[in-house]
Amino acid sequence: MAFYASNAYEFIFPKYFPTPIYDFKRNPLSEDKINLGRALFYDPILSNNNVISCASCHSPFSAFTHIDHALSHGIHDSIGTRNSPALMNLAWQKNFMWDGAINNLDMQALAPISHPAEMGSTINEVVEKLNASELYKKLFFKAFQDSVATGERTLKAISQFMLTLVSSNSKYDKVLLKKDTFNAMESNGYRLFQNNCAACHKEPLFTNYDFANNGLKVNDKLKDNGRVRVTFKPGDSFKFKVPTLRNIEYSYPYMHDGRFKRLSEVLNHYASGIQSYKNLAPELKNKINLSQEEKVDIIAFLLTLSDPEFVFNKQFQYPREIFFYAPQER
Amino acid sequence: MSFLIQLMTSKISQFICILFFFHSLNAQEVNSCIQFRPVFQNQTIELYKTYFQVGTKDSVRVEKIKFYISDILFLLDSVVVDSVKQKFWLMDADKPKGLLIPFTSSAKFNQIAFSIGIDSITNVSGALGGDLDPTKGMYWTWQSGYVNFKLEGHSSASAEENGGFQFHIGGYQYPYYMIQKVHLATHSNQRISVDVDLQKLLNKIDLSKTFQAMSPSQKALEIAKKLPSIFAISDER
Repeated sequence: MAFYASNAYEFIFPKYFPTPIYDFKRNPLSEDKINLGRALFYDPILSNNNVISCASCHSPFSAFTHIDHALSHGIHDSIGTRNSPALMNLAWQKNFMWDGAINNLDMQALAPISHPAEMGSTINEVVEKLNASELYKKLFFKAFQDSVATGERTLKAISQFMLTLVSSNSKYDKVLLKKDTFNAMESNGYRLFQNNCAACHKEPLFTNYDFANNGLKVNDKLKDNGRVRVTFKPGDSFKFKVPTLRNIEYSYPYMHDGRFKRLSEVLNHYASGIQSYKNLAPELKNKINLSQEEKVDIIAFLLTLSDPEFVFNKQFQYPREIFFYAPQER
Repeated sequence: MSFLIQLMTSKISQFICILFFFHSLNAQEVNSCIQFRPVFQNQTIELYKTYFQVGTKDSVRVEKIKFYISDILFLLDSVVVDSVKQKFWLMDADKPKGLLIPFTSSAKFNQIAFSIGIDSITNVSGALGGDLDPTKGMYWTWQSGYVNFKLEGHSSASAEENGGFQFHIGGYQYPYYMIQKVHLATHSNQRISVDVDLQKLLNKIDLSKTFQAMSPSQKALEIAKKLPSIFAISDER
């Protein structure tokens, strides 16, 4: 058995980003592991009926969310209870899902894999299928110098691909690096953003990764009380994770249940739609006064967070070279 | 170089511990083992066998017993003198030798200590392998965390509609930090047999009220706290 080291992958990010939270020492990035993870991400083999892949709800063209779907649908057209979050800059996230139920990126895939309305499978079933596939035996061997798929290796490979999804080349980033300038609307929008939104949607990741109740009216059908399900602290009722606003242009609809289709609806909520709650985010206790023009300017600024290089990056898309050119190996 | 193989078997067929004595460069090193022995009414339990409680005449059928043992230490008069190199072990009554922990030690000890479950740091360390691989069925998928102790079965005392009981005891975050420590005085350096008294555990749970614990919760914590008392060195029974 020939031994060769997988190509190490250099994890690059802007100087103004904070230190990543993910412990790369436990899972050092390599090209071969990333390729394996990318194959798994796009492969419906992860679902019980081989129809739903991660990409079914996390499509690259919508910043890895499920565009146009308030609630995602999984196997057999089952509808879930929450909106699919956009995936980017995951190395900086300390927990995952709208309620933070998952404490490490590696373990996140277990949730959709096992959920009856998403992929309806189990990690055991997935590993069994992978170990029966000639293609995956080759991919696991390239990545781990051993063709055997285990739960640990499968999850770590998926993590590796997800970690590469770094978005940091929007107009906002170019302005920060003094390679571009905001126009008048964007500039005004940025100022308003910093005064009204940045406390939770903190630069440069555009989230403080905290949980907050932002005053949404409770959806009586979904009955989703958010973070309290994980912490059991009554003060956490109806708190959900502050999402990133990067690529917000691509990732509609908005909020944990996808209730707002347009950014104007979001701003209308913050300006005049906030419901009163005992545990309403303190940052929202003071009324946010915004004129129509100011709302338009804020949206202009939010559009500068779009990163087409990220959304159209071929390295993040369906790996044709792995699936199409090895038909006899599936 | 000569070596002697001594095979010891007890009357109970599931309990086999093979000891190898041989002269080597580490003259005092001895290969031995810890054997866990889930029992019910003083007998090694057979999965899927129906037992009857003496007083209430309730039937009990245990179908699954899986638990993590971690950080095994050997002590001499309360001072740690050695430890088992592999930190985490998944014990599974359904697997051949699934309740056996082989180890090598040259230390003299009269006490062992171990934890039932996985510590909080390991719980937040991402995907892990071997006995900690998520394919072992001891990791919650919808919320991160290891299951420390899994007990499943059926009993006529259970209020569940099919008479089942399912206890998945786990949790690493305050206030539901479920890991438990056990200290036991040992008589033998070589063969350590630890009974896990399931009858004692089930007697402490009112199955007519509590037949399920599937997440970190107060009732799971109460069951977790009862666990150390059901582990005992076999010779003492």
